[in-house]
This record gives sequence, C-alpha cells and structure tokens, in this order.
Amino acid sequence: MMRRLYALLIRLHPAQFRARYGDEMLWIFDQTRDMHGRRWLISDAVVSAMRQHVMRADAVEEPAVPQSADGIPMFISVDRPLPAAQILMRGAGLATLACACLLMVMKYDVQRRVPNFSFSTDSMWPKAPSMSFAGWMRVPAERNAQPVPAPAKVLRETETKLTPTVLLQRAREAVKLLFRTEPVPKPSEYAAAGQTMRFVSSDSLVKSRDPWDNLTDSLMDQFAKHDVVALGEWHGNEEDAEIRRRLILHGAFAKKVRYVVFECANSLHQATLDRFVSGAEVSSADLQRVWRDVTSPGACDASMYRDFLNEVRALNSYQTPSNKVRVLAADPPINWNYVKSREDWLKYSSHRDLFVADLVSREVLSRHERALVVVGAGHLWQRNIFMKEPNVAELLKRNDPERFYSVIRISGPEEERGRLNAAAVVVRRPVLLPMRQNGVGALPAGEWIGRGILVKLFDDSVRLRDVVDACILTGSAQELPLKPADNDPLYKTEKDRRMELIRPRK
Amino acid sequence: MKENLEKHLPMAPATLHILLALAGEDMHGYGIMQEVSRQSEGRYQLGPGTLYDNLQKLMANGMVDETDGPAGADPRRKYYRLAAFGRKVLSAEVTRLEGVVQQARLHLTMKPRRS
Repeated sequence: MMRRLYALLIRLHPAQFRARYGDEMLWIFDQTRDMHGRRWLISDAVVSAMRQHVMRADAVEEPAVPQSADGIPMFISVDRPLPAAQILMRGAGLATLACACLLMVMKYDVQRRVPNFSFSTDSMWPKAPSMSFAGWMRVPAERNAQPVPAPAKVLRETETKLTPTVLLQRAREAVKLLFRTEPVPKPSEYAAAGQTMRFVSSDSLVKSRDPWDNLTDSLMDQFAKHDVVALGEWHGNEEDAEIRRRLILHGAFAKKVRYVVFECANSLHQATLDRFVSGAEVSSADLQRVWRDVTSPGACDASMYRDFLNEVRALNSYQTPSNKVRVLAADPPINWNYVKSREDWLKYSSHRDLFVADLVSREVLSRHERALVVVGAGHLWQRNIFMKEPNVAELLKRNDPERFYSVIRISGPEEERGRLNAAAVVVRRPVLLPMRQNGVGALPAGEWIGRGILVKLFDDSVRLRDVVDACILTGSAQELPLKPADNDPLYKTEKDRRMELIRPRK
Repeated sequence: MKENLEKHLPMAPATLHILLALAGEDMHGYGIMQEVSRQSEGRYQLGPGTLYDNLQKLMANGMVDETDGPAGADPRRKYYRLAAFGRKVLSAEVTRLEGVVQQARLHLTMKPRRS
C-alpha cells in the first residue's frame, strides 16, 4: 500500500525527473523503508515533488539538437502538445485560491446580509416541550387547550425546493448583495411585530471590531465550559437588550448554542414562537400574545423583546437546519381567559423559577445541548434572603453547578462608579468580570444589586461572588431610560384588568 | 572563476553532505545516502527525493557528473562522481567553514564582557 503511494508520489514529479530518477527512488524506498520509516520517505517524496514543481520549474532541459551526418545542425520542434505540468499545477493552485477567496467573500456576505436563505426540514426542531410541570397539572387540561398547528406541518410552509430557477435566483441575489453599498437597516427599524416580516440581521457585524466584541467573545468562551449561560436583565433595560442582541449575532453563537430560553414569552404560545423564529409568517395578533400574556402583566411590553425575537428569526434565516436557534418560552403557560382570581394567577406566578429550571433541565441539559437563558436578574441572584423559594440559578446549580453560569450587568450612580472601576482594574469596557477572579467579586452584594428595591435582599456579609458567577461592567449609568411600552388602548384595558385581578386583597 | 565559486556559497547542508560523500569515491544514490549517514554519525538523513533533487541541481551546475560504475557494479544503478568544479566549490566551502569555526572558537573562549 505504502509502496503504491510512494510510486504515485514519484509520478507526481516532472516527467523528466521521473524518467531519470524514478526507478532509483523506488529502489531506495524498497531498501530503506524498514530503516527510516515509510512515513518519513513519503513526506520526503511529497516535499521533493513540490520542490521540483515550484523551485525547479526552470531546470527543464531542452533536448539536444541532433546533427546530421555532414555536421549541419538539424532543427527540431520543442513545442509541447500540452502545457508543462508545472504550469498546469501553478494554474490549478491559483484557480483554487481565487475560488476559495470568492467563496469566502460570498459566505461572509451571505451570512450577514442575505435573509431569505432557508434550508428548513421537518426535523428542524425537536418536539415542543411538554407541559409536565406539577404546578399547573392542577389546572384542568381543557383550560390550556388551544389548537396549535403541528410543528412539522408548519415548517413545511417554509420549505423551498432547490429547483434550477430557485438556485439561479439565489445566485443573482448573492451577487447583487455582494456589490450593494447601501446600509442594511436594523431590525428595530422594521415594521411593528406581526406584519409580514422580512428581516435582515443587524449591520453591526459588518463593521470592524469594536469593544463590544470583546464582551461577546468572553461570553461565548463560557459556552466552552458551561452548557447554560444565563443573562440576568432589568426588564426593559436597553443595555441588557444590547448585550444579548450582540451575543446572538456573534459569529459562533448559532454554531454552539441550540436554544434561547426566554422569560418574556408565554409557553402557551410555544408553537407560535416556533413558527415565527423559523421564518414562517405569523399574524400580529398571534405574535403579540407571546409577550403580552406573560404572568407579570406589562413586564415585557418594551419593544426590545419583540426586536430580540426578530433578531433570532433573522439569524435563523441564514442558518443550516442543524444550526438554527430555537427560542423556548420560559414563562408558565398561563391562559388569562381563565384567570379569575389572584389564586388562579398564583398557581402560575409563584412557580416561575421552578418552571424555568424544569424547562432547562428537560429541554437542554438532558439533551446535552447548550442554551442562553434570558431572565430577570432576580431569578439569578443566589443567597437572596427576600425570596422564600430557590430561584433559577439555585435550582440549576443544585445538581451540577459547573453546567450553569450566571451573569448580570452591574453599574452604579455616577459618584460611586469610581469604586467599581477601581475594584475591577480594567481599562476596556464593556467587560465580563468573573467574580472569583476579580476584585469586584469582593464588593458587598447589597450595595451593588437592587439599589432601587426597598426591601433588604442580601445579608451584609454576602459578596457579589456569592451571588453570581460573573458581572458585566459597561461603565455606563446605573439605569438607562426604558423604551416606550406598548400603548395599544385595548391591550391597556386588558392589562388593567389583569393587574386588578392579581392585586393583593387587604 | 572566483565569482562562479562564490555564487554557490554558502552551501545548503544537503549539498555539502552529498559533495563530501562523493569526495572519496564514485557512488550510486543509495551509497550516497549511506555515506552521508555514516559521516554525520546518523545525525543527518537524506531522503531519496531530497537526494535526487540535489543531484539534479549539482549536475546542472557542473559539480557532479554521472558516470559508469566500477567493474562488476549493477548496471541498473547510476553512479555519480564529484567533478573538478564541484571539488573546487567544496574546497571553498570547507575554507569558509574553517573561518567560521575559527571565529566561533575565538568568541566562545573569550570572557564575557561586563554589562
């Protein structure tokens, strides 16, 4: 076998060299293969062939001009019927290089700009999560029953046969996009949710590297060590929204992370959510229910949550089926049509942490997949003395603490941020600060978490490192203004009704 | 001629070892490989590809000639001989290396300067 390979390598040498030394080389191979090792001889032949073609291309000897019997030189033709082998090899190399460059450019451009490349199949999604959690098993099944299309049937709507016409059209689109110069609109500039949405990804990745890339790189690195990375947010905070937006747009996100566990989505509408993020058309009314019907009325009204789902949809539009990201609705499946009292509501709201933890365990950890969890920061604060029940972080860290990594953003009032910066000892921001390795971890948790909350959250002895695994330091003000909420008058009426229902009775 | 000699200096290790191997007697390719290994006490190994690639170059430069083997030699083997020009180039390389060795010894035996 190795002898045949060696003979093949000899054949790769220029014909003149091969004719002159080929037999000798093969003979030496036979003589020395047990002495030197066959791999060494093979690699020597490879190097020799390359050297002959690259460095000795000019050493081709032209045949001597024969002379006639009377001493007069004769003429011969030195033209070859085919180009020399080394010329062909150089040409092949250059052509390969050019094609590789072109494909790289096309891939780069298509991955970031082309929204309509869909490779959906029936097996794109795993089965939707079953609602087996005990907390709402007490609720009659028919209350939650809602006709939803089977995922496989829905996904067929996005299938596209790769006919020659479609391929030609896609090639035209790719070429057109390669040479387009106008800026790509941001998802936030698109029409309101529910309209027929044709999204493109943000243009942030097309630009050159900026300081946020360091943060997203650090967050992505955590997925190499942990299966679940949880980002705690202040509901409605723009900076938190920007962090998760940039994270999912990281080039490696879709390759590494299969699920986004999203608190601002009612799990009753999981099928709608699946349809939307997979690229199918979803009506405005159906889609809005995903974030309007959460157990905390109005908590997810800010447009950033809709924008985030748009981003995931845009991300999926250019992913292969195996790389598509699924958003798992992490809010309990409350059906507000059947909530008539505070007690009805408490059946769902009092077990939100357990629901999220159960969902992550069932759909992510048991499948050995990775997930980004986006929940309110309070669900991640460990050693929180105000909360009576264990939260998401505490539940998930019970069994296998290494698989779960909690991250929150910290900031502070202008006059106190100097202390934070001094403890962090970092220059570039935003930055991810692992609490066990940074001075910020030794700061009292109560001074930096939940300042606006009137109740005492942590004992004085509790440090930031006891509460979360890492903090994001952006260096900005403590709280940025909230985005305007949903001002739909009909929804406002319904929201008021819900708020009235859940208000504690005196 | 001096210019022609210097054009080939300093020599690549493979070239130097091949010329040194052929300095003693005419040899075929496998013999050269064995002689190089012997001279370097096994520290330098030539592969067949490297050997013939260098032999081709040395013959093109007129430093090595192809020759008939000694009486009774296998007629299928090609033998190689160090040409007169090759011997001159080898001598020039050895002289150059002597100078290098001399300088190296001089500097290595000197006491290091104080910083």
